[in-house]
Amino acid sequence: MQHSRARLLILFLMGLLPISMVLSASTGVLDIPWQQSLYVMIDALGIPIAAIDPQQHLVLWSIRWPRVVLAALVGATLALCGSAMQGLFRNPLADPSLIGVSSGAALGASIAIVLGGTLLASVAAWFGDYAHWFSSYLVSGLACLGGFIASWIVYRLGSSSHGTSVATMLLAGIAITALSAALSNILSFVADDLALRQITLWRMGSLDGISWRQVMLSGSLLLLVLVVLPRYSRELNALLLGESEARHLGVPVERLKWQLIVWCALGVGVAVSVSGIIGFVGLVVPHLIRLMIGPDHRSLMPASALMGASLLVLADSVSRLVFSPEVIPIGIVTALLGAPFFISLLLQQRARMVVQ
Amino acid sequence: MLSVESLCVNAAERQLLDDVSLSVRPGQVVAIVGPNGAGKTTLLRALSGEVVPQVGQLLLHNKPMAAWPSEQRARLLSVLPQTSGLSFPFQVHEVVMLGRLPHSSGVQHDTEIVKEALKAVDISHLSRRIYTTLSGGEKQRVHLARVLAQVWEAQPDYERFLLLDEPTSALDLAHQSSVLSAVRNMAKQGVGVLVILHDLNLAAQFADKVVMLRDGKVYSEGEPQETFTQENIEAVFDVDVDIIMHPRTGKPLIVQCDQATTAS
Repeated sequence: MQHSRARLLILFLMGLLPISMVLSASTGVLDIPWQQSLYVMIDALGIPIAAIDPQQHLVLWSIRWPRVVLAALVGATLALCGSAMQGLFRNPLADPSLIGVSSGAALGASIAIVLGGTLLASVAAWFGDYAHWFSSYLVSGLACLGGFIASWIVYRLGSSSHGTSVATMLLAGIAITALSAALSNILSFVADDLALRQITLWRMGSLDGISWRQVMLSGSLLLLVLVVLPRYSRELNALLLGESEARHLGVPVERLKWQLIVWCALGVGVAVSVSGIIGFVGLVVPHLIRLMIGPDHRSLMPASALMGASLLVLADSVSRLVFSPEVIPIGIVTALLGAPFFISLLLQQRARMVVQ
Repeated sequence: MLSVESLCVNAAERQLLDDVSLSVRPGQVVAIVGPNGAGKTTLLRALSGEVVPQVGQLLLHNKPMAAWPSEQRARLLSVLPQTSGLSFPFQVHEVVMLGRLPHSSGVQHDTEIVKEALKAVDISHLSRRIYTTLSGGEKQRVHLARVLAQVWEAQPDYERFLLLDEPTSALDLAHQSSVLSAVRNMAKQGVGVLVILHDLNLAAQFADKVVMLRDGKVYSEGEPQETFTQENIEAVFDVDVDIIMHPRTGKPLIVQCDQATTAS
């Protein structure tokens, strides 16, 4: 029964995603009929379907669609990595940021924003004509690097000759998060007003100004994570029994743990580097799916990815609509929607504990 | 054959196992008994390859345990720990299905095996229930069904083994014996079983060989009749007992003399 329900849910979400993408592409300052945004995509695939107004085409093709596609990829990755982390930590309240990746990325971004000018001046001599190219990716690049370094330190702190202790890693994650927050704050403290605003906005998460080039570059990495992570679903199921039980079932637990951490650090690191910090998607989506179809990762992972994608695409439309023509940072929208939902989950769980 | 030779395990400057040698033959049921802290669970964890001994060798079919590829080992050796930390709301049949993870025998075939394993421990009626809502005894039987499903079928070339840490601790009388007879059935098909039991009488009725541990050492080893003597039990467990013969099975039956009543 649970199995067929899972299949139904996945089918439903597979239908929901393209619909929300088309709708999201047609909402914004310039209201465009949804048929037009669909036509542009079909047209881009090389099937001429109908005449499209050149101005609408420009808006849809160069501004809206890359943003929508990246929103979907980022949402899917965050939710998928969330489900993997919850399985790894055997805790339904775990979040991809637990391994320090978000705070490390924030530190990297702060460094790029505050010290970027100085950095660029010193490398300009070497790079010459490439300096411009370099500067446009500096924030993303350093954010990504910061995320990797932070999660690598967390992983090293949690590992000993006896293997990786998930509990120690959790505590190390908290410590590294605090440390990188302190370092970022030092940078914010010395930053000028413009840089300060930039840092603040970056931390709120934003999908502004996404180009197809960025979609290709980051999107291909995200897609790789999206394809690889669900392959661990059977082993993650065994891991929920406990580490020694999983080992007795023939799962190479130590290898599984570090591979999951590497893939999640890559996925979340790249996602955060293009979109800033977007909270609650990685935490809430897998939790919600688990309530509907149970904890089997074979359906939990694809369903979470699909739902995360739709959720972020829709949240992005909301962020463009609320104070139109102003676009509010998407991280605010997901937190505003996610936090009350999360609180209701906690209350539900508390009620259930009283019954037990 | 599953065997350990002169096994020593130390942890935190304490010697948990001291020069223990032991073997389980295919089809044999070996019961480990001993007081709390005698090293029973450590022995089982060492046999499953989870605790690495400081001294001694662990062999599965004459090959060091660590040399086996993990998936192949899992098809031959299945382990039931004392407690399980599963806190996710799987359905019962899904938990048992996890036992089929090391096999690639097809969903349909595995579903059949899960059904039979559920039946063997008398929880067919719980198949669709959510694991986290079950009672302690029911959960214990779910995990037993899982480890049975893991070694349910004979494997080419090698015999299978089953290591059970107190599989009956949370069960009522009827299920204690039905579960142990399910395990006995596996032994009849050639599975070697090593089981830790607290109830000496269950061990006496059920095991082919009893190993009595005290302070990390093998105190006595042999058939139930040889091991369960008044002297041995008094020396190892520090209780006053009488041994009589079970009227139906002829196996030793251990009767404890309550000191309070004998004194008065």
